[in-house]
Amino acid sequence: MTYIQNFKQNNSGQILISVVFFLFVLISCLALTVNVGDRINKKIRMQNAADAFAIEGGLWFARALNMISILNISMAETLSSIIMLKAIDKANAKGKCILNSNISEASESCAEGNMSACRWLDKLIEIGVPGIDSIDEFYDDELRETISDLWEIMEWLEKGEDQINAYSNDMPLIADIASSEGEKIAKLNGAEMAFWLPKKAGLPVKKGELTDFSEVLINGGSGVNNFLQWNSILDMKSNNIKVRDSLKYLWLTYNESGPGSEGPDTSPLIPPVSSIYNSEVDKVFHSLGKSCGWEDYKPLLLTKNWQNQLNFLTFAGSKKIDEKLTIKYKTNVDSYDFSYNEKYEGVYAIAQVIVYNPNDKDLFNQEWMAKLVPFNPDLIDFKKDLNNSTILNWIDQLILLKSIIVH
Amino acid sequence: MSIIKNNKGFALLEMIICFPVLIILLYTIIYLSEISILKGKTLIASRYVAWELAKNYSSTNVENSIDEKVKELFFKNYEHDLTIHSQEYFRSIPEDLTKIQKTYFKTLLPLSFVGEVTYNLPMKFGPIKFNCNDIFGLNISSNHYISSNSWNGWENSQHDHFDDVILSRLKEDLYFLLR
Repeated sequence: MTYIQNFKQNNSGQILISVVFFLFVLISCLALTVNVGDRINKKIRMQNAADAFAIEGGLWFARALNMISILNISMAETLSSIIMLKAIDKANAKGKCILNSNISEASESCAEGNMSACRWLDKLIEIGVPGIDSIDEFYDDELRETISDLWEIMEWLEKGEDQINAYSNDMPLIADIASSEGEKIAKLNGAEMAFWLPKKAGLPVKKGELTDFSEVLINGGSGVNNFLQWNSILDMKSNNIKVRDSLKYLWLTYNESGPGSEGPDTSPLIPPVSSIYNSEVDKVFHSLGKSCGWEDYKPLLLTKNWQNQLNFLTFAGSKKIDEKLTIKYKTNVDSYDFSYNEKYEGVYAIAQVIVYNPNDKDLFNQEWMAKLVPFNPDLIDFKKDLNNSTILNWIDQLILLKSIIVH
Repeated sequence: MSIIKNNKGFALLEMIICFPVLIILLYTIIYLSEISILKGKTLIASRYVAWELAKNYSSTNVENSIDEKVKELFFKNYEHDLTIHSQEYFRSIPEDLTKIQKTYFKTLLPLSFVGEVTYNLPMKFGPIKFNCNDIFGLNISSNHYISSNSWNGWENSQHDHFDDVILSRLKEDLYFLLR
């Protein structure tokens, strides 16, 4: 009784108890502040890293598709140039007969004192139309040489497409670049480990047929800057050579009343080169192509389900704070393990990216881009990775994770 | 038996001793939470800077407008002891790309952008602020790297490059053909 009474009467140390209690609370708050702050900031950092990885990886796919588009367009332009030269050759063959008769008629008229015929002849000399005989030799040699050079360019362009779409050790070249470059930028952004899926995604392209060029050759390519119509092909930047003006001046004006709009009537008219061009395109794709081996040149086109193949997931993680969710990444054995059960320190973030084309969705249009999208693993095509059991397990966990996030 | 028989004022004395400790702890928590919040802000701001620069880097005076926006969006109620730095960041060419003939590309510049935001937080003890930032200030800094969409890094005028390749051949031949 005495001890209890003394304890009740003695007030010393009461504050100490309160102080110890408050100290404990405040120190806990201090620890919590540091821990939560660090975890939140780490999470932001990892999200930034995952997003940067996703954009970087997606961009390499977009760049590859843009590169293929440009190669396709260049092939079409080259093919168009070849057909155009053949069209000029035909127009020349038809035109030289008329030109010959016009020259002899104009010469006679000029000798009889017709000044307009003399001016027409002077004009011909001024613009440098060579004699009919030399035209033949000139066109034969130069055209043949030019066309042969253009075929070499076609081969060079097609080889470029093959190289971009190449595989190395069962791994698409572009996926390899996207993965390694993405990992680099994720690590620059503070991630200690980063990877992306599907791992072996290739470009969603397939070899088309020569006939896939036909529409482009007549109507032009899609997209703002892809012009491939008869007039436009001649508009190609040719530095100081005004191809279009020269051709128009030399040949198309024969449709009218001759150069300088004076001189003898030139009827019957030469068919315009443009119409010959269009009929040449038809011939190439329906008969000429097979016999001339033109069918060897094919553009790369998008596959049917290309949208699914241009969706990617990225992971970025950092091993600083303990988390229930665990991610193990073993670079040596090239496998992923993803489990909720093991205790593991790490903050992670996921990002999803799609490669898309806002305008015409084909490979004659170099406007492919990449953008981040909300997380949805259902959109990802994991088929290429299905032979890897650890990745399969990982995908199951991803779908579980999605249901947790959604609900 | 105790030397001090009168307990009066003990509580006050204990309070006087402990109170400053509690106050220091309390203000430390507030200071640390401010550091944490500012770290988060610099992280998000640096991302914003890098993304804006990557998006608009060809525009003139883009860096000044980004600085203004960052101050407005992220540090409106803070004293602007803020340093914003943004620039292009050139990375090495991917090794795998060497498998593709270089003649297909005009230039290969894997181009990224880095945004760096630094906030100098003065040392504070509750309402008391030490303004000598050089000595007491704490630099809270974050940076972010991002690549730009989508031709940037490869040459924008790649199309012209192919035109040049084709036309350099055509030029030689057609020059004689059309002179």
